[in-house]
Amino acid sequence: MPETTGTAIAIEAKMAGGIYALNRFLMTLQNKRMPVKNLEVNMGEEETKATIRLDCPHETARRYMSLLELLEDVHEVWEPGN
Amino acid sequence: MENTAHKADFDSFDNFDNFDNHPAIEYKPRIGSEAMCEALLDEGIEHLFGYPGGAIMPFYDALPDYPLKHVLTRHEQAAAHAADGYARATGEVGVCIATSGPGATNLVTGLATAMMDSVPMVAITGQVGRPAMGMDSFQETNVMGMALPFTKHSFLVEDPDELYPTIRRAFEIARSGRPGPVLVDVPKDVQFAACNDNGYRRLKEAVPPIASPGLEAAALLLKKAKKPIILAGHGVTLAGAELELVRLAEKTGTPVVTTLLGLSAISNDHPLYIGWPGMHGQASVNRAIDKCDLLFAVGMRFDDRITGNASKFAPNAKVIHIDIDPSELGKVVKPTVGITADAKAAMRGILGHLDSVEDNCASWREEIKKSQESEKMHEETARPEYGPIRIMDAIKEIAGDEVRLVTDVGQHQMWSAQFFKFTKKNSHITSGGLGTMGFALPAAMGVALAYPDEPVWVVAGDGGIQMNIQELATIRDMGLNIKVAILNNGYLGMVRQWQQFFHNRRYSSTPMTGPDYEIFAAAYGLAGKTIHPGGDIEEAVKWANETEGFAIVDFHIDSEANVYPMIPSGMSVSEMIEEHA
Ligand SMILES: Cc1ncc(C[n+]2csc(CCOP(=O)(O)OP(=O)(O)O)c2C)c(N)n1
Ligand SMILES: [Mg+2]
Repeated sequence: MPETTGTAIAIEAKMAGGIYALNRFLMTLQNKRMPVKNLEVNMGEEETKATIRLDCPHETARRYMSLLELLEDVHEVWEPGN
Repeated sequence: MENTAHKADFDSFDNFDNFDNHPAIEYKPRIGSEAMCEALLDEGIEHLFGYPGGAIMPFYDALPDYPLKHVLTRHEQAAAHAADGYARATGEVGVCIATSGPGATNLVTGLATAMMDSVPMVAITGQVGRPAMGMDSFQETNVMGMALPFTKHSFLVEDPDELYPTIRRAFEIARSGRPGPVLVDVPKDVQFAACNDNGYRRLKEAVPPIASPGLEAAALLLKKAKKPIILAGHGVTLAGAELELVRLAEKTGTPVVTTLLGLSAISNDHPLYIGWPGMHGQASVNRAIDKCDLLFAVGMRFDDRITGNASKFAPNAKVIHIDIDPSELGKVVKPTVGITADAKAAMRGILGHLDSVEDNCASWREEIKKSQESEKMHEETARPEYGPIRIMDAIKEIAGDEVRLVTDVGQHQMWSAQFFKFTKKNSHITSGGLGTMGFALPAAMGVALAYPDEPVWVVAGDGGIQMNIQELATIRDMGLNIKVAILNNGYLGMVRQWQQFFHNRRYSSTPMTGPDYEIFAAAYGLAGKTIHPGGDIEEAVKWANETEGFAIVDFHIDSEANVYPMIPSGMSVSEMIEEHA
């Protein structure tokens, strides 16, 4: 497990709609053991938006972001405010 | 309907040649299974490895009408490994096919093996018909769900018009960026259904361009280093960057080590090649990494079998890490300079910043050379009587420089990596990341099909060979040119070694028996030989080499021989176990 910081970093992601893209997204969070403190999902038919809060250093969070971004059906991953 | 969309679309692909070879194919109104075959054909696929069953029958029904050669394996796991071996050896995408349910579940080990080692592969599975899905129907499994962690991407194709573009897309995903396996699951009724249309969708842009400040910074670090090491991984082979690796090493006078999968990315004869590090790597190489001031890691991911305790790995070094997968940078080792790029492009870029380099590392090379002398002497004295070394030497000597070695998992795998002299590019094929026993024999089928006129040797243990031994039938049917050396120690040797070191010699469930391989091979109409201790190893290898097609030699070796040195799991170079007299 990555070291925790106590302060969560918010990440937002847009992905293809439907259950498969979301399933792969969630599995990746679990498979790579990302320290997810909180998760909100708005699933649509065309597009799904997820907001996660990760409890880890910023650098680690950025690595996780690029991992999620590499998923074929993830369109965009960003830090809100950046 | 004339399928013009398809033809126009085809223009944008480079594998036009293959298309030209089959002018007889006309594009007619088609059904899903035909679209599947056309997509494979248009990808330039020649060989598929698979096993039929109810849910994939329409595809198998269409197959004979196309110039695609299907290899019927005796187990779906073997089909996946064969596609994997084919892909590793050729650099092209391997293809395997299975039916729904048990066929698909049997593929999973092969998908996971390919995923861990970044091997480009497309697996096509039949699925129960759309109306039957979600009903716990006969032979229904959630293949997409099951394969999620072991695939780069997966598709369930529910619209027959999407079959052709999806399969093409699967290939592009499999080979782009960091390669990996892609699964396409196709319900039976979709394979039967008529297609009206097909378009080809592009995937999202691959890999960001190379950051040039990183290249310059890397070149600067290389120029300044006094004790540099290049650590080359599978990414070098996948990118075809062997030449760039040698150029970079020679230009800077930097010693080169490889990961297990990087082995054969540089000739073992090259004066700058010093060996490979990690759990069973040479002591001198591990010590060199321990002392180096710069680690240039390219196309590798700092696997725990390389680093041991990562916090104590290369403690004095600045680290340059080049990988095509940005999420690898900083995962285990924090790089001083991290570059997201293809190994070839990155090394070329760095070479561009290395016009004038002074050789700062002559004394470093001398230091390493000295530390290797005692190891070399030790190996030389062991050579005449030590089974594994002699067997490796004999294969190299007798089968020649063109030989490709496909190894299974266990002690014999480590001995092969330690003692076989790899001088041919990409001639070492093994399951590194997943460590899949049973990989070697079926993977060698893929290699032998790709290179039918070149020698292929399998080195396997008496445990692993029994995991896919049913493939002897496939090998016989296909007349494949594969030679097998079993290093038979009567044990699941690697596990026994751990039991000896860490569990007080309690050999729980590791003694292993097997068949008489001579008789067993004969039952398949194939040739086999048994060599007992003291037998003529060279003669047996010669015999196998001269036997047409397949031959298996069962070498009975010292049952309690160990792989040395060994850094126990999670420890560092200071805790290395070395062989004592
Ligand atoms: C499918 C699978 N099951 C179990 C293991 C664990 N394992 C690793 S090495 C090994 C022993 C292999 O024995 P053998 O094939 O005889 O090779 P040896 O080590 O004796 O050379 C085992 C059981 C594995 N790697 N893969
Ligand atoms: Mg054994």
